[in-house]
Amino acid sequence: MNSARIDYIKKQIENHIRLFFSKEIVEHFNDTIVRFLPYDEAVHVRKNQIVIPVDIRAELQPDDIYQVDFNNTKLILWNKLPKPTGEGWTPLQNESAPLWYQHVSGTLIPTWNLFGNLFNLLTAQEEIELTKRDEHGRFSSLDSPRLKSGLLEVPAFNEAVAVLVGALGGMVENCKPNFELKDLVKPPVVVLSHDCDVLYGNDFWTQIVRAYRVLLPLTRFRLPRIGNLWWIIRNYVTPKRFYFDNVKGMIDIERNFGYTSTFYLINGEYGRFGTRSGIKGIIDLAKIVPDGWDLGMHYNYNTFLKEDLFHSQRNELQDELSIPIQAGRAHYLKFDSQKSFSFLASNGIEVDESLGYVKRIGYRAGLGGCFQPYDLKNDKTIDLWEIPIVVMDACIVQQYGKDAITAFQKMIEHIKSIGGALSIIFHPGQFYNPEHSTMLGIYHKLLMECRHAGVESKTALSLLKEVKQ
Amino acid sequence: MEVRLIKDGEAEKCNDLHNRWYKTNRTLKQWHWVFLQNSYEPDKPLYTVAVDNDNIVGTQTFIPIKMIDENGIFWTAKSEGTLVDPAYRGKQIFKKMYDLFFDYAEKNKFVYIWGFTTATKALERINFKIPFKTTQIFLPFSSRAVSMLSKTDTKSIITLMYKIGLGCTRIVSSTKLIMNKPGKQDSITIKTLVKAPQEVGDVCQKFIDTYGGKTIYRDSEYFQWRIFENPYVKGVFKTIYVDSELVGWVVYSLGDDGIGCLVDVLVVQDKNRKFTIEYLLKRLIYEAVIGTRDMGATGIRGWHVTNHPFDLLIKKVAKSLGFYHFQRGYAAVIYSTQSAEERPSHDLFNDWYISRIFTEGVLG
Repeated sequence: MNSARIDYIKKQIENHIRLFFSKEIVEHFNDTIVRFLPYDEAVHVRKNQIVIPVDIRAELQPDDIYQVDFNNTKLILWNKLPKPTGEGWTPLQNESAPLWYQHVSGTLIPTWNLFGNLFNLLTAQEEIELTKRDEHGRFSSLDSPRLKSGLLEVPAFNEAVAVLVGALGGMVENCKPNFELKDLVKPPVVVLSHDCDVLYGNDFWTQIVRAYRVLLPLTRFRLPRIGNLWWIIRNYVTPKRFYFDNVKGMIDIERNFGYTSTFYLINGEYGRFGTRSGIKGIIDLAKIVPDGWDLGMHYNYNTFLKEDLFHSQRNELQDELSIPIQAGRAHYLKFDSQKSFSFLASNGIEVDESLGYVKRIGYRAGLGGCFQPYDLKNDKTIDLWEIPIVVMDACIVQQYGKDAITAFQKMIEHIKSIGGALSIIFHPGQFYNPEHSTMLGIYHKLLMECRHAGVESKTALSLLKEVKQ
Repeated sequence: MEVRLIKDGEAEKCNDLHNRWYKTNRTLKQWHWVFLQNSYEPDKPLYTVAVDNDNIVGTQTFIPIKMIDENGIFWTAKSEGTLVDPAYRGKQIFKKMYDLFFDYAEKNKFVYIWGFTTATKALERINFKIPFKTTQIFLPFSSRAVSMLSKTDTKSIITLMYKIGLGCTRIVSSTKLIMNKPGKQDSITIKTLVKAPQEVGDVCQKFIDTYGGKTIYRDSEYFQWRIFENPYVKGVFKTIYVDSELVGWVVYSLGDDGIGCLVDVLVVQDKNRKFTIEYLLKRLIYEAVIGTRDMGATGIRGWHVTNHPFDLLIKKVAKSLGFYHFQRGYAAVIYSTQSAEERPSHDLFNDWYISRIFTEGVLG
């Protein structure tokens, strides 16, 4: 593993510690205590140091999966490493599922391929090696080897850093790793955002889709779903209801919790996959978004890796709203983890929230928080911050049904124990819309769970500001 | 058995007792907010505990709250957190805890001790009066608001009947809301604020000058604590201006049960008398209705409590916008200290203007 890649992972760990753990730990995370070394060198260190092997290849299909109790939660680790050969190594804290091997001299070595796993996750090795894409050219969660092992909802990066923080705290205190973080971990963070795909329920495409749903059962020789006609009429008469008006409702509900969010706005080409509300709707919406809430760009589908179209959309937004557009997310999450980061960075985006799955909730980069992507071709860190999406509105309900809130509660409690942030996307049209009755009240319940977990809310831009400090 | 003020480090035990008893999950942050952040003696909790063998077996607390009447501002205390372990009932713990506070209230010139409860008998025995009960004004937005009316199984026939009934009442309410929607006026501005302006105290004073009676003195410090720092639900705070003159506000929220709350509303006459108070009040209640509806509430409720003229006006305006009034609520309990005798109409309780801002703040 070359030194640029080692420095990259070290830097991402350090950033994550700075954001989600107490100050003192950041000071301890330095070369005198934590060393990233080739395996053969690592196992021969005989000092009170944490040594992370950097040259063990991590296979795509996770192997040797095991669970470990840590700080009132359970960590799931994979690609287990054998105990180093030679005398004096003890597995901690539990022989069958240890987190560390410690040498009598004090040296600590993780029991799993920490570096290899994290590097693979942050650089999306799955998506490089597996070339299958869906009809929109996206990598699907259904093709992830982690899904097969039930690991998509494991924030492996957060878990690894939490373990490291525990060890750092313990090594400084008494040369033993800690398995509890106590006050070292800061409150969990939620990064709330809303893609404003539809602002008026009477737009051509929304009404056409409803009409299609009325007639669809006929193709199966069933009665048409007449109920959908009601929504066609309803939004024809009151186009803002359940869409534009929901933006006001979302802001108010977030006020109730002391939270803020980002609204991603889509302009540019009109169409099924493009904007449906036009720039006027966006200007009207921007007027009702108060201070403390942010606006960003929802990259139009047709701007995917197309500089001229991307510029045109971004410039129009900037001109009409008189704000710099620094944050964004791809419409339909149309995103290529090998090309999009550099593209966005070179086109004025500083923080992006596109990295997520369409059909599942989970940690696409194994991380709940933010990180800088890595350019594998040129071996350098890309000047962009990515906040991967963890939870998408309809996704969590489709996946977990009535247990959606319980599933979310588990996620947030887990992040509370290990530190990090959950990026949550909720579309205005899904927030309060009787047309999507299974979604009614879901956003409110998610926020109640956040409140109960003592969550802090930050927007993508505020997190960016904090990490850049 | 010892009855005394709470000591450092006992907050968690008291909060645990509350959570066990009421099957809630109140956090320590919420405990601190409601009991510690008072403006009378900041960081000194007026919180008594009954302790037996190191176990907390009873709790009782006062939340100091300023009220205002024709003679000015005075201190009162809201009684909260009354709990006695059932195994210790009949041992006068309840009375002993209150006695400690009664002494405190007399010494510090608190005028009233008040609260809302369903358990009135024990309080009557220690000279609390029960002058009125809270009642509800309610406007349904959805048949899901049935939980407001019926606690029965969601699949039961009764619930179904409630839903059908609610469906019909919704139609009536919606029609009234559309028909009586207050028109917009150029000289009126409504703003959502994240901090109460300094003038709110003056508006409160003007309110009492206009209507008389007694109510909580809402100054910017009070709103900061009660609304903006509320760790349960921070109400949406909207102010109304005629030209640039602040003439009132409305606070609304979405409760954990999905029902909107009209937490507080208060309006005074603008100095040029351009608009009637009734019109201004209608604008504010309408804001709360549309605001909570857009938040996805299944309905909105508020309180109607006394015959205070403004409370009666709220009921009238709310009904014109499609609200229903029904009898369901808690008994108000009020204890008058000796200081009360120095104030005008101290024994007249029906002149209190009470909104949901008098509650602990769990729903906003």
